[in-house]
Amino acid sequence: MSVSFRESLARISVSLLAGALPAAGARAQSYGYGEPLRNDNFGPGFNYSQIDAALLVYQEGGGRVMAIEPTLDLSVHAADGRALTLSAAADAVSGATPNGAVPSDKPQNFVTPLKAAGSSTTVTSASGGSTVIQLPPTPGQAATAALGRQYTVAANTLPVDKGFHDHRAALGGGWTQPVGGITDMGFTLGYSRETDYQAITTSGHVDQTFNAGNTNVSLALNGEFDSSFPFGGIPAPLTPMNAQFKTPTSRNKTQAGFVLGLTEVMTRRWLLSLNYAFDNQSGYQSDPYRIISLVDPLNGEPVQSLYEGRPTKRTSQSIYWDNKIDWGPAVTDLSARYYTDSWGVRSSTVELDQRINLTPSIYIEPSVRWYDQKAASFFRYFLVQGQPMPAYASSDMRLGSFHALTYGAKFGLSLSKRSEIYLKAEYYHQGGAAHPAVAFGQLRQQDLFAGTNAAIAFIGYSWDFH
Amino acid sequence: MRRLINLLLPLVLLAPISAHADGLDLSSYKGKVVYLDFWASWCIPCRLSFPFMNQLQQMYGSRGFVVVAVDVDKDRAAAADFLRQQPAGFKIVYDPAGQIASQYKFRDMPTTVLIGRDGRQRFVHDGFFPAQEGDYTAHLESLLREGAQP
Amino acid sequence: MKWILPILALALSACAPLKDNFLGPQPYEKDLMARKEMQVDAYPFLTQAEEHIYFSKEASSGGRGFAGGGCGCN
Repeated sequence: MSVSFRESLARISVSLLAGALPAAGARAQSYGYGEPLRNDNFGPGFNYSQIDAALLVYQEGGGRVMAIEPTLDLSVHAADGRALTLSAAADAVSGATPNGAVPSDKPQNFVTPLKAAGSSTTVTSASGGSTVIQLPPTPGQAATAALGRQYTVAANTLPVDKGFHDHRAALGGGWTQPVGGITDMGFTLGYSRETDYQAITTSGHVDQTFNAGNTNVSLALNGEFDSSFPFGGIPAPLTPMNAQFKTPTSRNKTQAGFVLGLTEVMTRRWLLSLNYAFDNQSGYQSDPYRIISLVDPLNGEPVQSLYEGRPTKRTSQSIYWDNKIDWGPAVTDLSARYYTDSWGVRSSTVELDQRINLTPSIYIEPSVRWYDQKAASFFRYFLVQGQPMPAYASSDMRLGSFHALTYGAKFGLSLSKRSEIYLKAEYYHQGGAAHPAVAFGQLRQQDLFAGTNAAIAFIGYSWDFH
Repeated sequence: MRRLINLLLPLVLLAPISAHADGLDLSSYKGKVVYLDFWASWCIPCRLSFPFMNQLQQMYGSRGFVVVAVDVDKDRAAAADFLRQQPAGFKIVYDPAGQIASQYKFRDMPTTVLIGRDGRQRFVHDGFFPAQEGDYTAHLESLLREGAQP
Repeated sequence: MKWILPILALALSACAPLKDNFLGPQPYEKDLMARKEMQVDAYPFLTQAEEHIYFSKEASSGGRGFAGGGCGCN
């Protein structure tokens, strides 16, 4: 039910295109594994097209989120460097997601608006164990829902909302070409839509190569306009969770940012990249379905669930450094990123990929990623009744302190001089404090870490033709 | 004295270039126009240049013109694979260590140096663009018109 | 005094290889940079899929670039 997950899926449109377009140009100049000549007549100076198809399967542990996403991309290249790209993606997401409340040593009930306003439809088991309940009239409210959806969470388990499923479709396109003395300029447009979220994305880039082709400097500007229209309307932050229909029914968010990049061929074997990214988001950034528990100050029992609230402004910066080193039969890719933002989040990421060409048409590539994050300033595991209410609070573990490890391997097979298939399987594990120092009363016995473990599988196919 | 130095300077600067090229003795081509092309199997635009160079060698070979294509591949098997797909009707010289290539100023790949009958560098083409084949031909024709044939 | 510069240029030209770039290998030494595995982002679908999974589970996002590298041909 996490809107942040959907939001991230919506972003695939612009980021996919912004990355795919110039990358498609760069791919075009290259050849197969460990061998200089692989692709027949595909590259600068030739007219050709390329189709890429891929499927992502994502499954979290413990019956949580499952997502399947097929994507398709067509790029058409002219001999003079002009290129057009079109892409489409769809996904189906389902499963349970933590609702933000803390576990309790007693069963807990949660109420949310019933899917269709004013309807009396029976809730089947497909809704994941929820029941339709009659709501008490709310004094002072003109139009109130008579029915709501209630679900119960067992004692000593992490509260999750089950029966969530959604579909999304996205389309995008982009154009890039050399302009006068400028190596490359281009733009992308993307649109993504699902039941309760919509994103319109755009980007423009310019890049210049000099120093006999060894240095490339680039600037990409990106912008996004999102609309959130959740079931039941947008709740007021830090107000009690209820099954009423709320106003406003939708809220928007705008994002604008840029990425400044430098790529340098350092030696015959070493390619270095350095990027600085700046981003500014303003508007509605809370998760309208997510709550935070208000607990009793003496025993730590949750007494009420409040809707979370996040600031409406967020500015972020990051530095990304990548190194690719070609040893001959193997290529090492080592990268690091440092990120910081105005919400107080700080993170470090290190990734190491080791590609080994077994034959000219087969390679394997084990990889590992270390990630460490410090929580946002308004992140709280729970709120305590009787204490002053903060301006913003969220118990979304995505904003908390944790470390994560991903390990996996990729396998690639060149089917012909013009096509390739590749598979990647990885396992993502988040770890953090199950018993933070702030826990008291019954909270001490509970595991308060709501991080994710997920298995990821990806299969892709790429095909060049004239 | 100053005027003499200014006159001799370009010749003096260019002299080292036209005289020593390891493994390639350009002085043996003196009197001919030389299309000195540096290529590699990993250079995709080079695939477009080979049919053009074949054409040039056929058309102008009788007028004192020669194409010399220097291969800078470090992997000889890759070059052989390339030549199987793009047969060359002209002379190929192998320069895996880049000793010949280092004598010239490179901005791009491929790089073509047009050398006149007097042995001096006259034109340099960075990259190969089919749309510019007319210009490449015009350059070499202007060099062919200079001086008498041997 | 004015004749010192041409002499200096002559001396330099005799010993230094001609270079148009001030850092990095010569264009004819870019064979490895032409390989697919040395491109900045040879598999953008995979990169984007991983980026958006991490974006949905972590607070950080983005920062990666896409241009440059390659054999630099044409």
